[in-house]
Amino acid sequence: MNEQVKERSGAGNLLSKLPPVIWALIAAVVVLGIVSPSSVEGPHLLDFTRQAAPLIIVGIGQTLVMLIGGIDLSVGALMSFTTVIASGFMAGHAESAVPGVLVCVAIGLLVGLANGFFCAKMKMPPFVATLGMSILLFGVMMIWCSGAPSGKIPDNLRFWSTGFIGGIPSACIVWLIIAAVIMILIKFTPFGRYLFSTGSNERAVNLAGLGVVKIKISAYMLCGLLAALAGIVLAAYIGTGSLTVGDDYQMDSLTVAILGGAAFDGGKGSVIGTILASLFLMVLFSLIAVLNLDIAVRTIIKGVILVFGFLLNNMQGRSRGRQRKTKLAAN
Amino acid sequence: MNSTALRRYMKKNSSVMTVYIVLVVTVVVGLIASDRFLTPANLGNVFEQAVGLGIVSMAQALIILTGGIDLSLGALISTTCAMLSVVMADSPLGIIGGILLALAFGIGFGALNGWGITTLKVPPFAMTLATMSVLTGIALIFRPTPGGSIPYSLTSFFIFRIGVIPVGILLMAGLFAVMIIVLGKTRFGRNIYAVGGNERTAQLSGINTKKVKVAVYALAGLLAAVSGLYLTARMGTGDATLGKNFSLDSITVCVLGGLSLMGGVGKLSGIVASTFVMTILNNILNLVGVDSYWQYALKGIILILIVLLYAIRDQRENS
Repeated sequence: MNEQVKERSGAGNLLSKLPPVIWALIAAVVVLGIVSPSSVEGPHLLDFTRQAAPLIIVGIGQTLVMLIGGIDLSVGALMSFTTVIASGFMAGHAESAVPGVLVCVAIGLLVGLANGFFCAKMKMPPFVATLGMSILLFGVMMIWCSGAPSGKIPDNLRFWSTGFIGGIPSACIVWLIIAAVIMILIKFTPFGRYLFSTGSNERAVNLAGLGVVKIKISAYMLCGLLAALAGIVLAAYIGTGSLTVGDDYQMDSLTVAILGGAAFDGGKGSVIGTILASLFLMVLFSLIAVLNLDIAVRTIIKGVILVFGFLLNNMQGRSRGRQRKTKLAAN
Repeated sequence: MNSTALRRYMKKNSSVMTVYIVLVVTVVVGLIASDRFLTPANLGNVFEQAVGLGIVSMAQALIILTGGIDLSLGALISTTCAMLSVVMADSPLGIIGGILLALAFGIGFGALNGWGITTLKVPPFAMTLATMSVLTGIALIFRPTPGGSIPYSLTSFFIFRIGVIPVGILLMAGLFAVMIIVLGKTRFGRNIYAVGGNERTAQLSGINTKKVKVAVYALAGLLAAVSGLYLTARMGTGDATLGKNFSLDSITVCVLGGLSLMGGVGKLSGIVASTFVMTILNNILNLVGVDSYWQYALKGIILILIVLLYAIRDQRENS
């Protein structure tokens, strides 16, 4: 691990340190600029950082779970759930905004705790356990609102998704803060190191006497928390609750985590990569819209990108693995 | 002597027997819960409803036996439905051509899954999640909003009842019979269990694991298309979201039927029983008048509980 870092900073170049998805993002912006020059003017470009906010936040959550070798297929349902609870609970009252957010955060943590308990403690296959959780959440949401979400998000909370602070979309500031906190958490605290080592070598962590189960549960809880926050940002943007608004985020969160460098067997993943990948998806969606392509085409392209991102990662992983092996041999 | 043989037999088939006991309990609950349960009309309904789920669960079961998972089967059903509603009405293909096209389409996408998983080495759930997205898109292109129609002759064929037995259930019974024989008596069947049990060992003992897997995914695609064909005929119209719940439901049926998600363990006879458990459970909830929201929540709880029980059992066996 250390060796790799040294080797890379030796190259010096900032771009080479960034995840390769940056090239995809640049290419997408350039193509968009050619097809529709007005779409890449300042305000429009800034708007991408607002549109991407929910995806970035939930994508970071998914990345954390993938770091420990897990997967969370309930984040989409949890996001919808949060929008419905938030709008129903707040019902347009400004003073309910803070308690409402706290309720949603608590729900997110609770769902994450349950997921973590099932997957880490009971060793249930993550994708089945979290898939079951997503159906359960959908059912509970339907029961709670009798199939028709009501209420409204108050304007003071909506500001955080639709407003501007010093010319910058406030939603962008929200995800920047969240991303910064998570990056500090995984780069500079022991917890972050445990996250990486749990994913890459669970046995070693176990032998070192660290609580693998606790670390994994924390990752699922963080993911639940971030999915709930993403749901709040989304609700604040649309202004009301929706039963299906989170659906797309289920797969998209996986896609951006993978495009950003995460692997299914854990130990790999990057917050910056996930952010860049989310921005890339937004630009791509906008390109699809500008080209007047059907929503169905977007769905098809999303499927292709998921596989493509995985292959790209795998190729990189393999060549890096080879480098490490030759290095070990040389030593 | 005889009793030890019996005991051994019971131990070997314990999970299948458990499912049948659960099935009996479910039926008893049905009898107690509603006097409409045993009416010929309702029994016919239960049979009709079991067919679509049963066939797609068989497809899922074959894949889970190899240690994989398929999240695209539901979307394949949707695409079959959307496609049939267009080609049977608006093209010269007609009924037979439409059916052949749908089946070929299922095999093709199944094989694509198998290829991605074996050759590109994409994990099964990621590969099938991707094809699910692609298939959903294709279904929407065929039929953006529900509509269109299926020739009534096809519908009336599948829902024709001999007493309380609809033709559809005979189709399902036939498919299960064939696949149970294939799994139990043929080399291909043994290879499926071998690949799911321990892929490396299977490979070393000379099995072309890649070929087996691609064949299984293609077969599953074919079965999902058959299921889609039946469901479409039964509904009589095109809908690009028809299969939405079937991927998850089929996984629930498989787990309830005693299949291990790690692969290599389980029997199709268990799947028959668990298909009926789920269908009858749904039927009872409808008869009693539990609203569909609760049914959703219950489905999630059932899936989590069963997998949890298995996980607890495995942990106990390991320790």
